[in-house]
Amino acid sequence: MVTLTPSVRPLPATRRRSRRMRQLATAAPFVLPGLILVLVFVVWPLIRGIQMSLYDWNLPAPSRSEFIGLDNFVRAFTQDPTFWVAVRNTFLYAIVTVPIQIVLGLGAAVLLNGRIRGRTIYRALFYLPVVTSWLIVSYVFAFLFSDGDGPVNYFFVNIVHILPEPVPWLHETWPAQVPIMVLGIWKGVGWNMVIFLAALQSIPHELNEAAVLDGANAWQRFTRVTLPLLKPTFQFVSVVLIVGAFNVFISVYLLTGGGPEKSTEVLLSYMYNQAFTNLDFGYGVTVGLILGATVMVFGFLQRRITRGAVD
Amino acid sequence: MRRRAIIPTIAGLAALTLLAGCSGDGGEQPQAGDDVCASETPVTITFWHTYSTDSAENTQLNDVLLPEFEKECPGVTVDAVVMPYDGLHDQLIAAVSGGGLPDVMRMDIIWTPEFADLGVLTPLDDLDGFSDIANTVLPGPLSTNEFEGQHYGLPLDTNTQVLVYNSELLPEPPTTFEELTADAEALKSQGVYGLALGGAGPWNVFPWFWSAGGTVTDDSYTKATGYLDSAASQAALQWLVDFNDAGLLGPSSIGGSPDSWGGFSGGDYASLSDGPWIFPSLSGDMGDKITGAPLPAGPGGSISVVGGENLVTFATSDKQAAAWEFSKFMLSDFAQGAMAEVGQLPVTQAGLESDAVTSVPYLAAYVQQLQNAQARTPVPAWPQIDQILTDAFTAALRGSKPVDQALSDAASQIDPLLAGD
Amino acid sequence: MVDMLVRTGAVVAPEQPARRRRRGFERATRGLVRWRIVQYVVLTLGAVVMVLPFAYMVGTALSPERWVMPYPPTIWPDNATLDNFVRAINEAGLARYALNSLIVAVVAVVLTLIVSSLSAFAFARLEFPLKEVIFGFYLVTMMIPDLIALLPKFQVLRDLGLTNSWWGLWAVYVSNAVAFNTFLLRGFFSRIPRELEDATRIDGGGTWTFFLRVLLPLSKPALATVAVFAFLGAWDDFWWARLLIQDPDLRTLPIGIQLFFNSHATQWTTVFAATTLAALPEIAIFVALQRYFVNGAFSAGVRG
Repeated sequence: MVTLTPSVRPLPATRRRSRRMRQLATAAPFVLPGLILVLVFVVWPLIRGIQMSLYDWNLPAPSRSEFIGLDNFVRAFTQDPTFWVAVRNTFLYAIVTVPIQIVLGLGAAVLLNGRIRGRTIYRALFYLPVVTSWLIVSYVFAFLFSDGDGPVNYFFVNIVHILPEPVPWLHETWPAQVPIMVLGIWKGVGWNMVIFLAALQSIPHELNEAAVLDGANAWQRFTRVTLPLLKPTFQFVSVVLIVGAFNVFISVYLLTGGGPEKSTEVLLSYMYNQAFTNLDFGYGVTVGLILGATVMVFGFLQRRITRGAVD
Repeated sequence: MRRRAIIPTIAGLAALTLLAGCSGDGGEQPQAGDDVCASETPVTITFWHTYSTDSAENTQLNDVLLPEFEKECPGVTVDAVVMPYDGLHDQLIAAVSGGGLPDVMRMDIIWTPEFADLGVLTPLDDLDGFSDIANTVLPGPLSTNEFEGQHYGLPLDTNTQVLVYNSELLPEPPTTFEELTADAEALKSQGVYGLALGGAGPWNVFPWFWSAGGTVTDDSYTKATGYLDSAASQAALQWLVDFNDAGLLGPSSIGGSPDSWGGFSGGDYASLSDGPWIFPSLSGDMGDKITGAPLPAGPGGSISVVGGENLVTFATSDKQAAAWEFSKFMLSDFAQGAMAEVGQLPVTQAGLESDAVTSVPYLAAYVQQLQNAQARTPVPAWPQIDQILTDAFTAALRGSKPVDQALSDAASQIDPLLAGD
Repeated sequence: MVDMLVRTGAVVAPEQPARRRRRGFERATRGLVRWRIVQYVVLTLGAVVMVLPFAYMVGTALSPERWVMPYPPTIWPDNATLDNFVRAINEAGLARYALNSLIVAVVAVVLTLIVSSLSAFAFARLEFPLKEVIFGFYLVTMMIPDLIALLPKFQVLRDLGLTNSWWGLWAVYVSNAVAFNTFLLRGFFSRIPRELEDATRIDGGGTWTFFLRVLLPLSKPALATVAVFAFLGAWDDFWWARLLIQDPDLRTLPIGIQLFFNSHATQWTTVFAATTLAALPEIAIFVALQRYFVNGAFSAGVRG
């Protein structure tokens, strides 16, 4: 982020101020619409959220809310096992889906890089799930993974005979992780593919040719030449995917509703249910804030670690 | 885009009506209501309901009831809105806090205490004509509107579940649990489940849990421990679990497929416990094969669960007078009878005995079963209790928790909710 | 991150020429043939997995049954029928909800384009106090998932009287997009040569002339990115539409689809007719703009 500062003579203070005023007058109509929207609808809710988290918030009548200090946070961290179930499921989702998406996306990109017939079609088909809305694909997966005679059970039990009997995919804690995660991976592979494909194509092929002349085989060229050059892409993709994974919500909400017995809740679905089923808005806000803080801390750590590598 | 313009005169009129209602003795004061109906500027009230878009109930409402109401009360028009049942509770909560509530709503009886507790419903006791209606409706459904000594709605329709069976698979309906088990075992060899439930929530499980001798709380709804986890309740749930473990209960009961209607109409399930709405919906596909009978009796008797809807007015509405006129109309013999024709059971004794009901063969079993039907725990925290019980029943049926533990865990979670906050 | 994104997207090298090595030609050819076979088999399998769920969705929607799920599951039912589509459109008013969704999404696109391009221009080409601070601050807000603030944002919208109105939806959609789009477009705007700006000034044009007449027309691909991103975001939105909109006249498609889940049983065949219809615009946009989608920078924006 280097800005070119034009070389100017130091100006007297008054002229500097009048220049700044001119700058402001020019820039204001460009900056302000966006800045005001961000302040009102992004920043103000966060401040309001911090305030709400300190109350037993009464949504129908906010003025009747009761101030309870840090009780909501204490409750989350020390008194509420379900909160930790939601934390576990959220992290598990990130740990499983992010690497698999990256590997599959990169794999597809490598296969599609270079001359191949029907490349446009393959690329389009892999990308199709990315553009389809979460609501729609969640319903489709709820149907595919229905208990008993659902298509997935039918395939694994009656056709390939891998499973001895139908699995209640949506109604038991650990089986239910499967459709949720498979959906996340299925929907994300195409995006990874496209990003990696763009990165692969930007690698100067002279490098590969030089490696060929040095006697490197295809695998060596991939691991020694290509992968190191993809490092910035890996970093970019993993940040986006991890933030996305922490955002997992609608698929869980529509596939399992957090059940059975709240065992598949993730942080956002737990936040929502606290607010709209239990009418405990202050606590729901608190859960959301804790998630937001986690994402921020993670983002800063990631940036700190990778700063040297990018430039 | 918003059509909810405030019409000052009507708002004033509404306030007057309320005042009149408060000062009066609840006797005949028809002129206030007539004024709304004779109003020069038509008042439009918004009415939320959950009759599905493509249902016979919705057609009856729009083609028969509303034209008649608008004829009787020309000053008021009703904007009837189909609401998605899925997530409706959350939408209502959002509307409670964000505005956008309707004037009148047909609301599941189990939600009335919760929304009364939130302070968004209009108490009706002092409105003119309320006591007349209160005297004619059945006391059971009426009581679901009561919260802290006031009535926050009128019962609109009632229902319960009976044994809905496929007469091709079950020529004679079972009348006892023993017969049910015997029938189901016989059907098992044909690959048919004797019975299937629509899910493992209280609405679906209570009829069997109660008939098998289970209870949830004491009579005044203050405590679950000692009731839900009693030996009788454990034995009751154990009966259903055993029935399931023996492979006699359809997979829809724990969320499997085919779902209860699909399995029933497809011949995979010989019987369901379900409400009257199943008849108009499935008789097209199934013809005379779909039949109803009272629930088979277990150790606790033949006890079903009372369902139904109340008609509530929101306190936020500025059209209270018009809302009340519409509410009274919906309780009239005409409206109750017209909805009975499409499977909505009336809430008045007269309505239950009317031709509209007696001429519909499948309703007989429901009317009979209503004599032996209980309400679900009418407390504001019901949505949470519903969830806790669903979890407990599911865990027991899936075998992930022993019955005694599932019930005692649930009882200890429910106790603080009944104690209030 | 900023530069990287631009790099991955914008600098696309020409396709590798299929150079054949002269040495060990036969060995290489054999290896190549095997590699090609693996390549096609794996890609085809992958493509089938990607498409199969959609095939089931459409197949179920075409099924003549209403309450029963087709069994065994089929992709193309015997005696396929369009009844479910007719029912979805006629009886549930789906056409109305689709129109609403279209209006909401198109206005969201226009507002997003205006606000985002203004903002990005300021950060790309203008100097003003606190510029770097505000930009850094935008980068921070980009990291925060929108939905963590679902509840307080709902409270704020209510405080401002924006519930039960499309303005509330637009406020959310546009404000969520400002930071990211500023970041995305700023990179693009920065690369418009300075000489063009100087030329505009020599012709007597000011900042606005340059912005409207020169920079925006040159930025069509980037603006298309922003537009599609905004459209799909609004078209997909479920939570805000559900929480903010109660008036049935204002309902959008995702809420309309929910009407098919009634309290007793789900009519999956009708639900899937509705979801198929809802997915059509998404797929149409994708097919029409395919070559933009598979460009990295574009996709960086449209991740669902």
